[in-house]
Amino acid sequence: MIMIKKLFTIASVLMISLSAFSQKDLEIGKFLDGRYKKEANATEVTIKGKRLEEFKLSLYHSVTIINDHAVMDSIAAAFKTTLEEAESENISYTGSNLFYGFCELRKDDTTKPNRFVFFKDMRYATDRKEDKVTLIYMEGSASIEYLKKVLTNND
Amino acid sequence: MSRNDKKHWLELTEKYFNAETSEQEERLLQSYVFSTEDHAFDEVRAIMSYCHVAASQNRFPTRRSHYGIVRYAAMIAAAAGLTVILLDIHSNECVAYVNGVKVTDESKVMAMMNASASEVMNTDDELFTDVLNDMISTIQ
Repeated sequence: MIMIKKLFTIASVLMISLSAFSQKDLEIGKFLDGRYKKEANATEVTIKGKRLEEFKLSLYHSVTIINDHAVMDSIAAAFKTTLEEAESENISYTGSNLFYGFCELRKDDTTKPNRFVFFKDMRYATDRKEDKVTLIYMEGSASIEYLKKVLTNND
Repeated sequence: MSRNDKKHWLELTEKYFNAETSEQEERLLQSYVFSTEDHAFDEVRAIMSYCHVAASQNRFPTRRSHYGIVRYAAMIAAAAGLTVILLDIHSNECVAYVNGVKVTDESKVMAMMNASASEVMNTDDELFTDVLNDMISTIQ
């Protein structure tokens, strides 16, 4: 039993040290750390690895919050802060309120995956049906040039 | 301690293989195994004979350090193997939490991914919409 405990301790330490998520260093990271898994007004989706390979992605992580305006405002603020670390962005406002946005984050190490953040606040949609905010974080080898190529091929 | 208490000697043998015997226990065990022809002790008898010869020739590591190194090397190798398995499990994940309820059905989770991404891409921005449409439709 002691031997088994030692094995799991060593394995756990190795696993933690080798599997750090890069979204944690972002302002939006605190909304994707699992704190809403048990919330009644939230949906969180996490997909990693093989299911995303054909899309040149390694990670898809989203959280959707409904009717909690304080949290929704906090997510919007966090996304705006995250835009400061963007290499490219595409955002739209309804009046002075951020409606949706998409950005690709800067990276200092070319060997690391590309990172994208998507945001949408349905409170500011023209056909507003419910109060909902969705935040999506993606990682992968897919680049903005690849995305532009996909759009060009479809023209 | 009775020399006829086989269970005791077997327990002491196991302790010996785990490098947990004291010097005195080791001497007692050695004395016993060399005095009995019980085949249950053939292995430990062979190892003790080897170690006795090696020690007398002062050319090989002691039994205690040899088995200690082997034991810890095996533990590290097992931990490394366990790490590989855990990392593989950890690096492939497809799960959702809806209103506090965990969903592990991959088809349902992928459908939720489609729903959340579709919600975000339903905008007037054609670039945004077309790119995500291609990605999500490929998923399905």
